[in-house]
Amino acid sequence: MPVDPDALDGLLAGRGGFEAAYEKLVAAAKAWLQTYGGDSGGRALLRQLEAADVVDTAFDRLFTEGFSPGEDVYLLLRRHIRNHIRTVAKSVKERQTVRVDGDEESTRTYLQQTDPLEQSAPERALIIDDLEYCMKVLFRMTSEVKDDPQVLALVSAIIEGFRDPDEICVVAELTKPQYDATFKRMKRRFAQILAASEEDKK
Amino acid sequence: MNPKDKTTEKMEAFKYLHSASVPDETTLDAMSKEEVEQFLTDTGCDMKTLRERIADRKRKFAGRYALMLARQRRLAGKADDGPEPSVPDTKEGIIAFFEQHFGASLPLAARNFKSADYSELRRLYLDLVGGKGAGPDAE
Repeated sequence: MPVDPDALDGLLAGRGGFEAAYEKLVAAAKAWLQTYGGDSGGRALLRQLEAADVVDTAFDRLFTEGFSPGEDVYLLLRRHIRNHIRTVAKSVKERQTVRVDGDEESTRTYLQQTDPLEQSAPERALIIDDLEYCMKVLFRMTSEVKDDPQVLALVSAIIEGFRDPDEICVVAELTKPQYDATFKRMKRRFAQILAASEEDKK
Repeated sequence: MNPKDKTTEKMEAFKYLHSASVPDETTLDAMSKEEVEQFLTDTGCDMKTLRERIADRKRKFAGRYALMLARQRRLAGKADDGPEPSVPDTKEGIIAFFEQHFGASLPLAARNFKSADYSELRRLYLDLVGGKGAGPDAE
């Protein structure tokens, strides 16, 4: 059976070849795991998953199930990854104790199944079930960016409730070009702190 | 401002920072390879290890892709279009092939392949790569 090692580059040529596509899929898996991971039910299991393993499972599924000629393989793989994460998130049902009436005997434990990917649009960005965790990350962020006064001023303005760039520029005493550069640095620092905090929780 | 309002504001700030820092599908699509690698590095990924993994998976998945194409050809009744695939001439050779191309994700029928004899393994091999010998009357 002839095996062409570069065949996958052709298959994913639209995404810069196999290596570039694989890296982007790992990044997508990481982003979804960070967004949908949590502390209860199947979402707690997501914290144990490695993004690259999820990508490998998607490739396994791709070659087992096949695909149609001309189909965008990258999008198909991304869908497999999303479905995998969704399945794990729903895999363990959360138990909820409910008092049916005044009689303690009637207390029952019900299984509540939630689908974190079917929230309303604003909530899809993040599902928070751990207030303490969020506060810790924010505290860590404000503590660790003290070496960069502009990022600290920007984060402080956001915590105070400012979102409009023009207003933030006034409050944080930044020019517009400084704001753009500072915002990029802030995003990187927050992503780093978020990932480190996730690791600490494992 | 009461404490509850402050908590709400902080949660709002966390959500805002989170959505700004963790890329969604559209943002990822627009990111260059360098930007993706920067994000992976920032989120704790060792790029050297990842590149080694990618090289390994590229070899492994190329074999899986070839198997998938062979299977599709066979299912489409076009197995006669190409030359009959060569079968490793030892049981160990076939097992090595399975392990190289499938690893932990072997098809169900092949899970106990190590205990099978050569003719069974040969039939399974041809079934996977789409050879004519895969039928029940083979051998």
